[in-house]
Amino acid sequence: MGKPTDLVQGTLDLLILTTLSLEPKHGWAIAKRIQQVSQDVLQVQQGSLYPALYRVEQQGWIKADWRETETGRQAKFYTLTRAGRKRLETERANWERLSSAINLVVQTAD
Amino acid sequence: MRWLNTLTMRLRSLFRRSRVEDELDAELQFHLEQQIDENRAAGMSVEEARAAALRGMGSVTLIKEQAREALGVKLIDDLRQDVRYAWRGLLKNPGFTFVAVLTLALGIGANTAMFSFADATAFRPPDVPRPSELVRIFSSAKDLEYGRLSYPDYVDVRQRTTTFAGTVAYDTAFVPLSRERADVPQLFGAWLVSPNFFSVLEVQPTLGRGFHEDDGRVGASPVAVISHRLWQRYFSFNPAVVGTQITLGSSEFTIVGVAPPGFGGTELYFHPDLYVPIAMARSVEVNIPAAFLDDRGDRWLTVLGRLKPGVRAREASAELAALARSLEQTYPQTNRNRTALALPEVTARGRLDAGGYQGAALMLALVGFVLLIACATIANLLLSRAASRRKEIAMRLALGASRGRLVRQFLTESVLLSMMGGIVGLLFAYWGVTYVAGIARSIMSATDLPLALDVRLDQRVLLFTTAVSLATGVIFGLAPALHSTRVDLIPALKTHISTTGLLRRWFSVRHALIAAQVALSVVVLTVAGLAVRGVADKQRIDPGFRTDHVLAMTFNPSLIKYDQSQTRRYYHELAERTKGLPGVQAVGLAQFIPLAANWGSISLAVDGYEMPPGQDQVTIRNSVVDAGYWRAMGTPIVRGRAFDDRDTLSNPRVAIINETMAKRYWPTQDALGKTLRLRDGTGLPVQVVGIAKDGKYGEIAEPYQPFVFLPFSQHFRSMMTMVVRSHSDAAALAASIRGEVQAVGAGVPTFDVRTLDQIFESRQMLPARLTSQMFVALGLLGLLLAVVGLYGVMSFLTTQRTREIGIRIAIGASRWSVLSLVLGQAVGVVGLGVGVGIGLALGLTPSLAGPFDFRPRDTLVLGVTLLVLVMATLVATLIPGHRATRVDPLIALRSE
Repeated sequence: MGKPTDLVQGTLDLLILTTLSLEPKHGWAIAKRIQQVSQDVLQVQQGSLYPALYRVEQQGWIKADWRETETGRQAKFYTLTRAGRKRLETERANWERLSSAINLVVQTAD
Repeated sequence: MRWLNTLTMRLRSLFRRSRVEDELDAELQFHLEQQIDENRAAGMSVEEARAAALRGMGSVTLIKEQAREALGVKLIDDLRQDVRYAWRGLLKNPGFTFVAVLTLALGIGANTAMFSFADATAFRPPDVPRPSELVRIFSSAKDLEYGRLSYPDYVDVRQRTTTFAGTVAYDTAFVPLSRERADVPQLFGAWLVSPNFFSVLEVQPTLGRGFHEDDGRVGASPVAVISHRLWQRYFSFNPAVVGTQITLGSSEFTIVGVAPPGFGGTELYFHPDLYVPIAMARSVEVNIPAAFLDDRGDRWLTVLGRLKPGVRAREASAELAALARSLEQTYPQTNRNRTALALPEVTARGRLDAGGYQGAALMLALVGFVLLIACATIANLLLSRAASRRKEIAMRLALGASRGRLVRQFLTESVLLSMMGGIVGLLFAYWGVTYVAGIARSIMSATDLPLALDVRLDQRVLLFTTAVSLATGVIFGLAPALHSTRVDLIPALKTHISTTGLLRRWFSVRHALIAAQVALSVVVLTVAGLAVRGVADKQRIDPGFRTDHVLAMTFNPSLIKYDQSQTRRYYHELAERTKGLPGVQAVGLAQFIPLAANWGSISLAVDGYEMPPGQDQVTIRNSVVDAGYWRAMGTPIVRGRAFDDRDTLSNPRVAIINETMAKRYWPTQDALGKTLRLRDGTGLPVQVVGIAKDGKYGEIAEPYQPFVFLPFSQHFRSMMTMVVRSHSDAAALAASIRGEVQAVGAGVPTFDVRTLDQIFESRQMLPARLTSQMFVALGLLGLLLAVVGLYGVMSFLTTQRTREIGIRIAIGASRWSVLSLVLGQAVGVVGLGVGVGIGLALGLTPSLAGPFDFRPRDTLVLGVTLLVLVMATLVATLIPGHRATRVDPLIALRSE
C-alpha cells in the first residue's frame, strides 16, 4: 500500500471517528470493527491505521490512554473528544454530500 | 483549549521522543498479539499464527516511521510557515522592528552582561566534569559554622565515608619560583593539594600527568604540576617543560604535568599557578609547623568531595555528622562540640560570602526589572500594531483560522523579535563585559597574587541569553496575542467603525503596562541614586590613616630559608637604609596594612572584663607593627606612647589598642595600663601602653571595630610590609628603594610594590565605583525605556482620538483644554506607577544596604528620583499633547 492520498486519508479519519463514536477502542479493535462492519471489504493495514490514529490524536479529535482489556493486557484505548464529535458531524455531512454527488455523476454516465 | 492539548502532544514528541517510541512499540506489540490470538482461535499452530500475523503486519519500521511523521511534520511545517510570515511582517514595518529590536537588545544585553558578572562573582560552578557532584566539606563549631578541616580529620573523612567517590584537600601557599637557583625568584600562588586532586576532580593534564599516591608520601621526590597560564607566561609553551627542574623556595621540584587551559582550580577569585602535593608543604614554605600532618586541632585545609552518582549532599552531611560524633568521642580535646557537613559547592560559596552572593542576586533582580520595563514597552507597541492589523486578524479568523493558531502565529512573531533582540543584545553585552572585565583587572591589580575576577561571555552566558530571549518573547507577546485575537468579527470587518469600545479594553491593559513601567523605573532609579550616594559616602570616610605619599612593599625572607635572627637583621638594616634615602620622611613595618587584602586576628582574655557565659576569650583583629609604623601611616597615638626601644623580648610585653577597643572593654575606666592575656599558647600578660586613633581595617564602610597592635620586636613575623612615607611622589621612590633591597639581600622575594593610594583606589573605591556605574546604567536604561514606552502609547492614543480632538477644536475648545485632555490621560496612570514604585523601592532598598554599603533609605535620593521621573514623563506626554493642539479640524474630520 502506497502513501495514502488525501481522499483515502480523509476517509480513514472518518472511519476511525465513526468507529469510536460508540465506545473507546484500541487500535486492533478499530481495525477489526471496520473490517466486520464493511463485511471484509475494508481491510485497514497497520501501516495506515497507526499513523492515522496519531494524526487524529494530534488534531485533538481523539485522546488516548492505557487501559486493561478483558483479557488483562495493557492496551492503548482511543476515545472520541468533544471536538472529535463535532468533527465527525461535519465529516459525515461532507461525506454524504460527496458520495451522493459521486453517485449522481456515476449513474448519469450509465 | 485544544491548542494547548496539541502543544503538549507535540512537545512530548519533541522532548520525550523515547517515551513516545516506547508507547508506539507497546501498541504495535499488542496489535500483533491480538492477531496471533485470533489466528490461533481460527485453528493455526503457534508458529503459523505468529508467522501469519507478522506477514499481515508488514514493515514495523515503516509503520513507526509514518506514525512519527504524523507527529512531527505538522509542527515543523507550521513553524516554518509562522516564521516566514512573521519575518515578512517585520520587514514590512522596519520602523517598528528597529525600535522593538533595539529596546529588546538593550534589555537583554544588560541582563547578559549582568549575568556574566554575577556568574563570575557567585554562581559559576567549578570547571570540572559534572560540577554538580562537587560538595564542600566543613568542620563546624559554635563560633565558626563553616570551618576548615585538619589533615587527620581529612584523612578520616577520606577513609571512613561511603557517600563520596573521592575527597580532596587543598590550601593556598605563596611560593617564590625561579628557574635557576641564582635567579631572583618571583612569587606565585600555589595550591598544596592531596595527591588525588586531579583524579577526583577528573581534570586531565594537557601535558604529562597529575599526581600519584606515591607523590603524597612525606619524603617523596618533590614534584609539581603547573597551570596552563604559567606554562604560557613563564615557559612560553615549551613542550619540553615536563621533566624540567624548578626552584620553589629553596627546594628543587620536577614539573610532572601541565593543567588544561581554562582550569584554574575550583575557586572563583584565586587561580593557582602551581599545584604541589600537601606532603611537600614544608619544602615550599618554612612557616608550616613540623607536625602539620598530625595536629588534629590545626584546621587549615579546604576539603571538597565528589558525591557518588545519585547521592545527595544531605545524605553525605548525615554521614559526616555521624563520623564527627565518633571523632568527638575518640579525640575529645580537639573535636569536642564539633560536627561536620557538606554543602554543594555553589551553595557553600553563598554561606562563606553571603554578601557577595546576595549582591549578585540583587543585581540580577534589578536588571530583570529593566527587562520587564522593556517587555512592557514592546507589549504596548504590539498592541498598537495589532490595532492597525485588526482587519487582517478578523479576516483570517473569518476564513477559518483558529484563535489558537493565530495566538501561536503572534507568539512566533514576538519570539522572533526577542531572538533578534538577543543577538543584537549580545553585542551590547560584549561591550559591557569588556568594560567590566577591564575594571575587574584593575581591582585585582592591588596585588601581584594570581587573583582574578573572570567576567566573560561563555557557554553558560549564551545559554542564559537564549533562555531569557525566549522567555522575553513569550512574556511580552502573550498579552497582546490574546487580546488582539479576541476580535468581534462583524464590526471589525466593516471598514468604518468607531474604535472606542475596543479601545477601552486595550486602554486598561495599556494603563497597567505603563503604571508597571513607571513603578519599576522608580525602583531602578532609586537604586542608582543610592549607589551614587554610596560612592560619595565612601569617599568622605576617614580611614584613620593617610593614603597619600606612602609606598608599600612586602617581603618574605623565610621563603628563601632565612631564620628568625637573619630575618630580623634583614628588616632592621632595610628600614635603616631606606630612612637614609633622600625624600624619605618615615619608615614603618607592618604584618598587615589596613584596607589592603587581609588581616589577622588574635584570641585573648581581657582582665577585668566579664565575658558572656560559655566564652573564655575574645577574638580581635590584630597586626604586628614596629615603632616607625605610626609616623609612616599617619595614624596618631591619642594617649600613651608608641612602641619604642624599651619593648624588647626581655622586657614586659606591651600592646597598643584602638579607641573602639578601649571603649568597648573598659567603658568606665582608663584602658591605659590594663592587662590583656594572649591565648596563643604562651598566656603572657600584655600591658596596654597606648591608644591609637580608630581606623578602618578591612573595608572602608565597615563600622569601627576593636583592634590590637603588637610590637614586632616582641612578636616575630617573617612576612612584613614596609611602608615608606615620602615628602614627594611616593611612586618615584620605588626605584631607589629597590636598590637598597638588592643591596641588603638580593634573593629576598619582594612583591606588591604599590602606593597606598593605588591600593586604596583599586581595593576600596573601584569596586564601589563599578557597582555604582552598573546601577546608574541600569537606572538610566530603565528610565529611557519607560519614557520611550510612555511616549509611544501617548502618541498612539492621541492619534486614535484625532477625530474627537478635531471636533472639540471645531466647536471652540481652547488649545489649553486639548492639552490638558491629553495630559489628563497620563497623570493618573503615572501617579499610580509612582506610588507603587515608591512602595517597592522602600521595601527593596534596605536589603541593598548590606551587600553594597548603601544607605537603607534616603529622602534626597527619592526626591531627586521622583523629580527626574516627573520631568521625563512630562516630556513624553507633552510632545504628543502639543501635536494634538495643532490638529487641523478640517483635515481631522475628513481623515476617517
